[in-house]
Amino acid sequence: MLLKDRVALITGSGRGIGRAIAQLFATEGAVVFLTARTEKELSATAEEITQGGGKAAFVAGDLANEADCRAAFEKAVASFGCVDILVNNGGHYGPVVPVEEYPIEEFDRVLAVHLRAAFLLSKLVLPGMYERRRGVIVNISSISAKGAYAIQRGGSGSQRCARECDLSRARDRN
Amino acid sequence: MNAICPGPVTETEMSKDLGAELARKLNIDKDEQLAGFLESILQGRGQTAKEIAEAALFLCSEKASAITGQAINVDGGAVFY
Repeated sequence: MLLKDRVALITGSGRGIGRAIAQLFATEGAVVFLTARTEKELSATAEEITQGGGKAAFVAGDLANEADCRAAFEKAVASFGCVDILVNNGGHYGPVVPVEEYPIEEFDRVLAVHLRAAFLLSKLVLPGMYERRRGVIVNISSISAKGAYAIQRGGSGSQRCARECDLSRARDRN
Repeated sequence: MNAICPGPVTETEMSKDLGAELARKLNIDKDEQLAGFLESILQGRGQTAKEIAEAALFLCSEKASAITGQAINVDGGAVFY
């Protein structure tokens, strides 16, 4: 097992890529803590993992909300003792329109979910990782961070790129 | 600390919504839009959520102990940098 007894906090894990990551990590021995906005999907994912012999817990929350990011971290620690792995996967994109038509409120929300939440959660998990001299952070971005497309998801491509750049510059002491 | 850049994971709701929205904007059928996009990818297909999860598993395991600060494309050959 590649992740035996590692505690993984995975955002956006009620469906899609986040759910697949949670399921795969659990089969590799990880204890997974899930968070996303839709409680029903989190509950279904956690139940499936538990029924398969894995360990999972969850809390519903909106990554655009700082208090919810903190709650996800704190509940993960309360449930499983620490966070060894953080997967910043949760995403949001607004309307598919050219930049000049993109609503600034949507742009702010995209940044809040993709970039600010990833930063906040990283800030919360890093002290414990440094202390244990062990830890991994993986950000799920998109090729839209690298490619150029005629109609872009407004802030999405640019901000995901920012998420990669800012966080990958952080010093990795482990 | 690393990042993964997935290509089109066509099974997810986010990807389906995006494809449908793009097709509307371009005034073409959504299947046609998707086929055109997939054709531009070296492997000629989208990725599955499981394939992205496998890359995440590798990066979170000891097997990737020397890899940090990277943004890795898991996109079937959509972009090459």
